[in-house]
Amino acid sequence: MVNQLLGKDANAKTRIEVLSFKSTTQEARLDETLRLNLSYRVIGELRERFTQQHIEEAYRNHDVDFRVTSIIELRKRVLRFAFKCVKRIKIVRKAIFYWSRDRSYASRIRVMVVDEYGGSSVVDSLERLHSKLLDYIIALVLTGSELGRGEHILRCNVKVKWGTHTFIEQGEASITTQPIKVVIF
Amino acid sequence: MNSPLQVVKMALLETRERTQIRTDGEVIRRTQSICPECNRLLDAEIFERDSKIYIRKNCPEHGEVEELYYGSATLYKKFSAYWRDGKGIENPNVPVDSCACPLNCGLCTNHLSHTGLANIIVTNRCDLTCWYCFFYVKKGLEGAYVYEPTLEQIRAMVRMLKAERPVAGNSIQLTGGEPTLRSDLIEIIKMIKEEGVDHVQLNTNGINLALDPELAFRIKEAGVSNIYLSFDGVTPRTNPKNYWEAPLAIENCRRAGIGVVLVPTVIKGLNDHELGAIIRYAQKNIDIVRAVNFQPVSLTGRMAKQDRERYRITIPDCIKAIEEQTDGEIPKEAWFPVPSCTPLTHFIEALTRKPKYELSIHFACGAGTYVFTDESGKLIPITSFVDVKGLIEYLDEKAEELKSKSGVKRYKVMVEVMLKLGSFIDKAKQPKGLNLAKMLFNIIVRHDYSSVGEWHRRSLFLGMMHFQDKYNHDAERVQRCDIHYLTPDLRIIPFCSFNVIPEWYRDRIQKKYGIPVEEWEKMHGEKIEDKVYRGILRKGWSCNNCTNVS
Repeated sequence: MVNQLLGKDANAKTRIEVLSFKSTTQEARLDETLRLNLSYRVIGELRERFTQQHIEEAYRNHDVDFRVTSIIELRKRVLRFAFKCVKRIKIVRKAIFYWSRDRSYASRIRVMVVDEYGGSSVVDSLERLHSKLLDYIIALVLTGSELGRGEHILRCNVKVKWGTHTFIEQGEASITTQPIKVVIF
Repeated sequence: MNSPLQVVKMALLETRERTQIRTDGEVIRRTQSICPECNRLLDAEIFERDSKIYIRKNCPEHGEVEELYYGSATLYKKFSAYWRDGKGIENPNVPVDSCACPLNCGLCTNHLSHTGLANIIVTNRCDLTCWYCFFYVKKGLEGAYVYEPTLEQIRAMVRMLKAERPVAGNSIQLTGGEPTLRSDLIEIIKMIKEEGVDHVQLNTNGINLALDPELAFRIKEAGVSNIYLSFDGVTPRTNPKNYWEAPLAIENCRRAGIGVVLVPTVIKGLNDHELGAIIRYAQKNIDIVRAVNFQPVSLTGRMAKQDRERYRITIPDCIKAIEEQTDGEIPKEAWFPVPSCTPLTHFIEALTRKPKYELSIHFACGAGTYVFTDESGKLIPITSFVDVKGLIEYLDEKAEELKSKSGVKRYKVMVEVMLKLGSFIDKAKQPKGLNLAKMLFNIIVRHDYSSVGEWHRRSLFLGMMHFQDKYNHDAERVQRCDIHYLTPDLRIIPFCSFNVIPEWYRDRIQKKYGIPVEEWEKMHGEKIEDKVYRGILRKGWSCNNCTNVS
């Protein structure tokens, strides 16, 4: 229904852009900690639909919180084309729409973003909202023993999903990163 | 009739002059407040300094006021993540074009929470004369009126509450003064039940319940759900009000089978060292005490800054004191803000597709936790065997999922949730004899008053509710208030407007619908002071069942 109203297929256009997937070190001992930095952003229709107009329309319909869930699976290659999950993390972020009495802001409906650590902050622009809600820098921390001795080809499967709201139907987007190589000795 | 939340485009009332607010510390949120001197609506800033949260405002006439707002920045930030605005009111009594909280409460178009608990003042006479109480009629003062709405007026108020939409009010507290001074109290209770209200709570100091063992039976039979018993401490020094009487009142409630909520007003330096002891006292009486609801003091009237600093205590301060005074048995991590339970409401709403009772108050207004007791007498907070945060998150996620499903798929989600509920509970750590998963199941499946009642009979709820005053007043909190007063002019007024600005609300209404003390005395053939309690229990009068706290 939302898509009919807006005359677009939102979910098809929402996609994930991986900015980087790197290991802080190429080699590590079994007892050493390995840190893999993954950054990605959700772009396209989902991002674009976070406009003040849509936020206000959502609030009018008591659609006052938006949650976006990222599921990240770190996988290592076990056969030529087969990968096994070695770490899985779930990240939930929320945008909470609320009625504000802040007169320095023209619109009454403002947005507070709650991050995956439970921290909250009121955002003062749509750009800031997009960034705080849909841009991710994730550190995947694991010990060498979780991978085992040897040379490993690692990659991440990233899936982002969201529910139905007045301004977007439920949907998901996913991507697999380019593989990287690490050696555990 | 309004659709819910048509307030999106509503403008804020423009105030005559704006003043600059001095910036000091990290500004977290901007809101509006009032000048404690002249009630002028002012812009205000909520800011962090030294790991605490303060509010600051600047009146062009009376200058700057800065006040402690929340005693812990960490807890403020944690709790703010649970902020959820409510459904609003479909049929407001006071239609407004621009938002001017707290100038025209009643409820207005711009109010964001339906009534959670409606207070009806049945009398402003009291049999005690506590120094800090702002609520009883003080004979001899200019403008002293006895306010006692008639049965018909009360019936009209109840009907107005039941007419509230999208969620009809279903919970009433009879308050005062001292409501047991009303000779027709039983009739009032019966009438409220006749009108279809499920929950009727009686706010009392317990003196008459202690002195008259039959009273508890009569009010129970009439339909009172529980007693809201003022209880400020466990020693005569901290609780001169009813130290001697409360145990007897509780015993009489026990015999009548009527639950008790202990309500300590917490004042820094006076009784904040006894919060743990109050909980222990409740634990000893857990068969009949359902909850302890701590109320950090609201500093009414004019008060110098140094006096405010001396007495001011906030929710995080109480939580910290409880952790210390229970030897860590109730840690600060056990507490959640009141709106944290909205995901459960949203889940049930998604399931039934009907608007449900929702505790959508501001996160800074209240907090709570549930504790259970094990065989050794240790307090077990719910968080020690339930992943509360995980459960809230899960219900939130499933509520969203349900919204997009139809037909059989909805039932599949429901079954999935029911099967998953147990995984949030560590059964090995769960107190013996408790089947929390089953209780949760009943709440979700039956979502009725009796299921919630069963939960409360097995646990001890610890709550905090910090009512505001003119110094820490935040209009964003008022706008979301769900503890209201019903008045004979058929308005529904948020607690923190009714009592924080009495000259606009409480006193004005009581004067309009009350009668002068002298007239009341003439009409009833008795003096107001005749009913003042002279402390016969503390002076040695006793009965066989009287067991003091100590």
